[in-house]
Amino acid sequence: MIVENLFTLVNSIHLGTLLNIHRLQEGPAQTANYMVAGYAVIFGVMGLYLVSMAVRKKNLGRDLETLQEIKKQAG
Amino acid sequence: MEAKPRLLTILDGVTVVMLIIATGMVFFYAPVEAVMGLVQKVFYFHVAAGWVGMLSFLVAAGAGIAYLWKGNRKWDVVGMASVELGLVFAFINVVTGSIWARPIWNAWWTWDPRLTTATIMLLIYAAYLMLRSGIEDPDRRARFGAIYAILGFLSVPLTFLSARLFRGIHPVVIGSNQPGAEGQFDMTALMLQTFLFSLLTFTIIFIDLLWHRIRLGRLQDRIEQMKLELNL
Repeated sequence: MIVENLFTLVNSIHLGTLLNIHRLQEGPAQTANYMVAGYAVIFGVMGLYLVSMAVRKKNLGRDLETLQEIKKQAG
Repeated sequence: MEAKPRLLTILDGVTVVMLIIATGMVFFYAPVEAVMGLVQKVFYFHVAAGWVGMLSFLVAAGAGIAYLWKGNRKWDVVGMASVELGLVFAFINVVTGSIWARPIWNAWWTWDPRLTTATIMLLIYAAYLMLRSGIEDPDRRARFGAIYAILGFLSVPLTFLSARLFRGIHPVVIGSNQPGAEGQFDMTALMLQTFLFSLLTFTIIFIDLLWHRIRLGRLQDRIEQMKLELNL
């Protein structure tokens, strides 16, 4: 009786494993979250770089105006 | 400030359109890979960012040689701009690689030869920016930058070849994989088209951003010169 129960148990585990494998083979792995994270990094970093360039350009433009003003006053 | 060239405005437009098309191709044209699922779509921009990172460092090394040869500071501006862009794209490449690795290798990071050499390359060029900013004399800074960019470039072919020369788990796109490589896949025609278009798009993005960054560098240089003239 015990042996028979054990056999049934082992069989059920094996069947479960097989079912799991079957389920995995039904379609690709569920990795959508990682794809979203990847593209968030790609567009996020590129966006930040663009913002940093725009800010630097604005600041340099302001510096240039000030220096031209000083140069005009000095000359 | 210099007026923005018409060609640059056109290039900006082309870049945006190409990026939209490339993104559309990644999500709606290329099929979902049968085993890895949607995370495989990171591959298209991950490799393209890596390619542009390496291209940037090549341009920086070329600008370094040109500066040492001609002594013209405009090459220093090109080199600096290129290194900065290379860092941005190499950073994207490393981070997206790590995100892809989590579900595929079951680890965010592993000291595989490709990952290690890519990180060393990234750190070498991050040090370029830090060390450069510590030098006040513009000519000395330019000379240092040129020599550093040339020597630093040694890390680029090493990174490119590392997955081919050393045994690791990082798959290679062009050429045959090492026996232990994990995460390789057979590219279908649609995947290949998307991949090649992504490479082209990122190259155009690089040219466009480099042009903008060079203009910014020139403005920076002009202000520095004015400050020296005014003894500020």
